[in-house]
Amino acid sequence: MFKKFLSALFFISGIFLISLGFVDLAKRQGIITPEEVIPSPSLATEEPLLIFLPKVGIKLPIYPTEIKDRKWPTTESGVSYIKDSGRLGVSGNLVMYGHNWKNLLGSLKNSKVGDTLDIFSNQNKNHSYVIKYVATVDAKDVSILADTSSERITLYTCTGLLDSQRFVVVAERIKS
Amino acid sequence: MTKMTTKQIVSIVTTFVFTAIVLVSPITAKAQLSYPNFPSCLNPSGTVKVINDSGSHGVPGDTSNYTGKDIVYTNSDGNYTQCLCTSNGDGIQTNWWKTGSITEEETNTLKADGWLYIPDGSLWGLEKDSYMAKNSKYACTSNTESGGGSSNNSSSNSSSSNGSVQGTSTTRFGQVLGLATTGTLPAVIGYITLGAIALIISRRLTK
Repeated sequence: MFKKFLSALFFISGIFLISLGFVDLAKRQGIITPEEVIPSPSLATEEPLLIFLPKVGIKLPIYPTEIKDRKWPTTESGVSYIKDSGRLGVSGNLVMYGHNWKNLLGSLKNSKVGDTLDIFSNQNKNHSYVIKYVATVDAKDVSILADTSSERITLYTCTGLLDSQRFVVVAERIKS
Repeated sequence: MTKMTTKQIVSIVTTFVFTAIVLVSPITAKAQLSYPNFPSCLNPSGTVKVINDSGSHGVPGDTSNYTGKDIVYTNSDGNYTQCLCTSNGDGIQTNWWKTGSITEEETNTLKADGWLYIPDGSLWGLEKDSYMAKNSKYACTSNTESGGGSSNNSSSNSSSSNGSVQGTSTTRFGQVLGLATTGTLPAVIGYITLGAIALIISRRLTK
């Protein structure tokens, strides 16, 4: 009797765990629609709202966040942007990151040096960048977060065996 | 399904343990080494030691000659980071680690991890010391200005008491455990694997 109960328990647990795995896989396939945003040129602080990488088909909303207790919050709806990393239109290295899912930054790995990257802001302005560096780095390589004297976007996602590395794209402002 | 004999079970477990030891021991040995920090060429820091704007460049362990821009940075710990960006946009980062504090056993571990032993760095424009060197690739544009990081950046790892290189790094955002974990593939594999194991156990119990 006990054996049957245990068998049933393992069976239910097994089905539940496998389902969890497939549900996680399924939600990566969903389409992300950037929220309708109503930019307002009169806003005092310019914040990034949307990110475009047309060559690899990425168009995603940007969510400001900050590191808490040494951990990086993530979102399933777009790209995270570390608020303290910098501001649009001024020198500095803005740091953004997102999941490597198909509906988020999964195609980032196809980016090439010379591709454009655009940030659309809440003040209805478009900031254009061009990709200068592309690399796969160790997950512990925090040197890419350092501030810079140029206007830069550092965008990364997971890659490698069991997502043990980070695929990084560095873009710098196109000077008009 | 026939029952397994005790001998078969012992054989399988022994094979599993032996394989695990063989696979894990290099990782453990590597984990006990305290690696210096080599800033990425995507955002190099440190003092510029030399800039070669053009000309032909060699890379340790590579017999090819590359043309492009080559910059060597002196890191805060005295090691070097070399960033080569060739004229066709292929980047090669070479981390130069002075071997002064490395034991022979550690050298062998590093070699197994892809590092090269360079007995005399002066042949490569560095100080007359022996080095371990490791190359990694990146993509670049050859007309990018050198540098990008501030020489005041600190990225120090603190070792835990068991000697493994775990722990936090200091960044301009404070202490972090590394870059963000933006992949959930290990979790997905974990769920499905555990679920499969649970189903197998369930099936065994019904026999």
